[in-house]
Amino acid sequence: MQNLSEVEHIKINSDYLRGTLEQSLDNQITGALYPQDTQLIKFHGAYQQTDRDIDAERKAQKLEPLYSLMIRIRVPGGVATPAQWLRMDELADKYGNGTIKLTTRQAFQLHGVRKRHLKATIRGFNEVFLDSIAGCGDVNRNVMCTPNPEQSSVHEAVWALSRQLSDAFTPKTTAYYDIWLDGEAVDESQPFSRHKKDGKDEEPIYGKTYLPRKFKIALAVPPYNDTDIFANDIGLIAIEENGVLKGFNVAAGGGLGMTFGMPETYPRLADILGFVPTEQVQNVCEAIITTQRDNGNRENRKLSRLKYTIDRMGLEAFKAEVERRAGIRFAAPLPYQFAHSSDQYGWTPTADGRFHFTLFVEGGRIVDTPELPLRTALRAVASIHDGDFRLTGNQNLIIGNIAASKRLAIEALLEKFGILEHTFKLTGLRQNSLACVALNTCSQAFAEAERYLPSLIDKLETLLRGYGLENAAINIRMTGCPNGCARPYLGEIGLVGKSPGYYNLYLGAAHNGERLNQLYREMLDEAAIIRELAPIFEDYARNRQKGETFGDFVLRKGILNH
Amino acid sequence: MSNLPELLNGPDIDQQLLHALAGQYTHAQQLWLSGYLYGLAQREGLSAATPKTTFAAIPAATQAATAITVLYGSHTGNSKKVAQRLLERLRQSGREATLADMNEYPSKNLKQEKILLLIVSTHGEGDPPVAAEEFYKWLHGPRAPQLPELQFSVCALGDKSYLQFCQTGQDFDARLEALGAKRLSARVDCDVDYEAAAEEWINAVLAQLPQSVPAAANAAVLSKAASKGVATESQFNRKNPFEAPLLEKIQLNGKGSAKETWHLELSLEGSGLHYEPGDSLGVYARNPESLVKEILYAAMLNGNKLVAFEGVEKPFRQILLESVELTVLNRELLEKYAAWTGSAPLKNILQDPEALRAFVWGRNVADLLREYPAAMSEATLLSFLRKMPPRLYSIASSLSAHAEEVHLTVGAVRYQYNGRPHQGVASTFLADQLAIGEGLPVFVERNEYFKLPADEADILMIGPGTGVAPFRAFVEERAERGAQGRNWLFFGNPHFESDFLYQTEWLQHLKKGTLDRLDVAFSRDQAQKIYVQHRLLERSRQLYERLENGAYVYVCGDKNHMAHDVQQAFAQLVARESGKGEAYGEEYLKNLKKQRRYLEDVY
Repeated sequence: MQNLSEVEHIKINSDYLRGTLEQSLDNQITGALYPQDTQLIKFHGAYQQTDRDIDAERKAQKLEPLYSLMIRIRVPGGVATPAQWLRMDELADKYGNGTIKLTTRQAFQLHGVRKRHLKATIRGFNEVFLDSIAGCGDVNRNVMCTPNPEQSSVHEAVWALSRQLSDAFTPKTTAYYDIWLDGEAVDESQPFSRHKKDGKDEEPIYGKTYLPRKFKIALAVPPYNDTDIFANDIGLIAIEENGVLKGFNVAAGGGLGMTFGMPETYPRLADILGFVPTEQVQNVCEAIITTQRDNGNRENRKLSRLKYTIDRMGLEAFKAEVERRAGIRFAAPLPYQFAHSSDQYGWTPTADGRFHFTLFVEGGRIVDTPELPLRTALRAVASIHDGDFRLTGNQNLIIGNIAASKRLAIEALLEKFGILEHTFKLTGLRQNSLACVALNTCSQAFAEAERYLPSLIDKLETLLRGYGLENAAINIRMTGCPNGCARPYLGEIGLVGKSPGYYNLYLGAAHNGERLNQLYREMLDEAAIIRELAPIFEDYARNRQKGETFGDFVLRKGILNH
Repeated sequence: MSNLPELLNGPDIDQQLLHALAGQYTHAQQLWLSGYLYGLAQREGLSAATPKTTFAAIPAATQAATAITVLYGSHTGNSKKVAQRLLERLRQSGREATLADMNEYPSKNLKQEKILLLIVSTHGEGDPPVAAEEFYKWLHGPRAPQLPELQFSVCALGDKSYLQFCQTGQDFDARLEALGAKRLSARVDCDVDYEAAAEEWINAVLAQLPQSVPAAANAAVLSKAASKGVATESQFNRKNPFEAPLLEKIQLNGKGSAKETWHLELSLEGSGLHYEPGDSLGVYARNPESLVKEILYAAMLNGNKLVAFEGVEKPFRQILLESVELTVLNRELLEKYAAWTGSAPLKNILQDPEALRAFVWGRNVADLLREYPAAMSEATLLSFLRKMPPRLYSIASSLSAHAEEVHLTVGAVRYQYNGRPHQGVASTFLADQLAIGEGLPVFVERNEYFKLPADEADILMIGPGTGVAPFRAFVEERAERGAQGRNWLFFGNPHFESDFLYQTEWLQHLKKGTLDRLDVAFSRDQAQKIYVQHRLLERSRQLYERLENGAYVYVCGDKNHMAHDVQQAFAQLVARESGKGEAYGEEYLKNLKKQRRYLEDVY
């Protein structure tokens, strides 16, 4: 007990995630929360951040850092309604920094929310049936699901399962309801608890101390691995037979975060435990979660993800424990094939007579710029659209389920605001790019990511065009630190920030998310990144085999060895 | 001085000389000297291991600083861990030491340190951790003192994969040496797995430390305590201002603010000027060059012409810049000007107080010359003008906290009139023109009554906007004195994010308990405007309790609205909480004023 990490003590003493959050909100002399509450607020979906661009300037001015909250709003399976979209858009202006961030895990994020506006913000999206509980924190977070509706009739069933899992593993504390909503939930369908049992809070699955660390679940329907299921604590691969969902191959133990200078930390892909029928999936997931709850490292948070628990227990022992807890036996995994982990841009019709338009959102940031008034365009679409908005695991957006009667009107809007042209003129590299938020708000960041990657891609595109590679679908992923939010270790080109302007370069991941990349060079500035990549691009343009992806090529040529 | 104790061995002490010397000094100075000698003796005791002397009795009340300070600058917490480990090892070896974070370390203490053990990490391209930036900058800047008495050692943390490995530690190491400090043991540079190397450093440091380190010399403490008692009249005053060099100038309002408030730090070194919290600083500003140009142009006068002013011939332009008031109009000036020009409209304006008030508002001498032009000589124009008056600012610092310095909080006054920008002379001079290192003519203006009460009394401070200035001095002074009375501050301004003047200092004071409570009113952060008087009413019960308990009320800032609203709020809250009605509230307030327990410094 005495070696438990500080966060464990905070959880134990928090009375089911209450802590002193209400006092923190009431305190008017600082924009910050009390230290212990900065941990607890994560379970409610928010991170306390500062505007790091002006930290030093404000310090000299005898002002505290400009504190604000990033709030992450769950969208299980990534499907939101036009009304929800419009509300997020409104809240972004009213309380945020005027932008919406689509995350790599299919959630909405608002940035720059002041402490005094946090409650109004949460109430604002609660009215349209969105919540932020378990958006962050040591619990199961937003459940991801392939959002592409075109694929098959099984998609609907897989998506329904993702919502079922999301609800099942939402914390049962009434703290969220009490602190933010003052007893004013919209109706009983909302997934957070309203009523204590016999006057007491309880967490049947999590217990008082919740999980040792964050926990992530993703579902995919082959051949698409756009949710990067191997990067999750639990990855569920849908197996269909003749258009019917049979069940899932269950993978466990994925997680990409690592810490520089700590070789005992590493990115790891999930291992497939075996196949289970659909009706057993929730039961098996619960068994995995409770195995991690009881066996995960609660002393060192850098070693507490499920991946380390599995490696410590041994995969076979872990699997046996899950089977014991779930009271099932895994069948041998059934065959499946993933083609890629990216999104297919443009129009897709489905058999039900509806249309879907997938558009590229650079860095996942919904913002108006002079070149591309994306936020305005989507607001206009949302005001006439009666289908849905689907957030992809690649920070992109699908305007989904467009009725045939609305298609022309929506297409006209996309045309008017330049969205169509923008979507179709992109190079393969940019279409397959991901970046985390990093500076100026993320406290973990050592270097830029979202604000810098577009201009780096500008320069790489010049190179690629020279080699005739403008259409080559190459995954490029950049993060400002090694924690892995934009899944950089699954990028065919991975760039991980080490200090301002300097990145470690990783190469050789599989295009379909089934193989990690490897460290190729350390501490490169922009000129060095371009210098290192240019000869490899040239080699790839000349010597790739038919259909060979960039990551496979790098590996085959042994480039990582020199 | 009485007879010398017999137990003293050593060279003969010339008692006559001692008496002669001592006779020249005041009682307080004698006290200071005794401390000084004690400090000297202590230091020598340290190096030569002579027996401790006991003749100079030190008042028990003086706080002895510990002689070893472990100072860390940490980003990830590793430096802090090393510092805590070192502290533990020091204590195990029977030594007392103080642990300090560079983020909170008062740099003025450095001069008093005897042994400094410094642990600091390096980030990015050889940068110090954010928490150490300020101290790093200060130590590497011109205000860093010489440190001939200091012994030090540096433990540098870093990451070898970076080019500037352990740069910050190396910088500190080199800088301390350059300032005259002596290296106790060699610097150790630690890579990512720092523990072993850090332990080696700790061992090396321990091996070099003297067996026991006594409390630091009390000389400095005493000298500070004594200096108050011996404040002699300075040669500098309103007529003969001191040219105080500007040390620091900070815009206190964050990005996006409509306000512009400057924090100025001026040196009083060598002036002998002494002030107390509540006093004001008189400042002689220069007129804006642009305004002088406008006047020369409007009246078609020659700036180079030599003109006599107060018996000295100077170029006319220089007199306009430095010696006469140009930015505002007054009745006397208008009367002289109207008489000389014979302007009927001006004479009419002078007849009607309302019209006069409207006329002078926002107009300056250039406006007058343009709107009522007349030909005149340089000397004639000078004969109309008032001698440049000094501007008074409530002092924002305590001398005990900032020896030989004075700080001001100045709101820059700028506005548009008739489509042209106008500005307050002193505030914009200080904001725009006065540069670091330049001298500003200043003098101290005593404020007889706006003074702190006895240390035990509670105080209530209401200081919105720049009105907060004297309360920074109050709180600093009470913190230095260890005053037991509770300090409660009410502050207001338009926006929390950008206009919370001295926010980080207040947060520190709250943390240390030297500020008991802080209530804030940010008027523009919500739909309805909230001001300090609203906060007073919200806290009526606690405020009434403190008043009944003998608390003193201090109000500083805007005279026209705030001061009145705050008085009303106090009368109201007394009426409400006493249950004795409005008349009682008014009477209570009147009594507070009579007892000098309700004090205003408003402008």
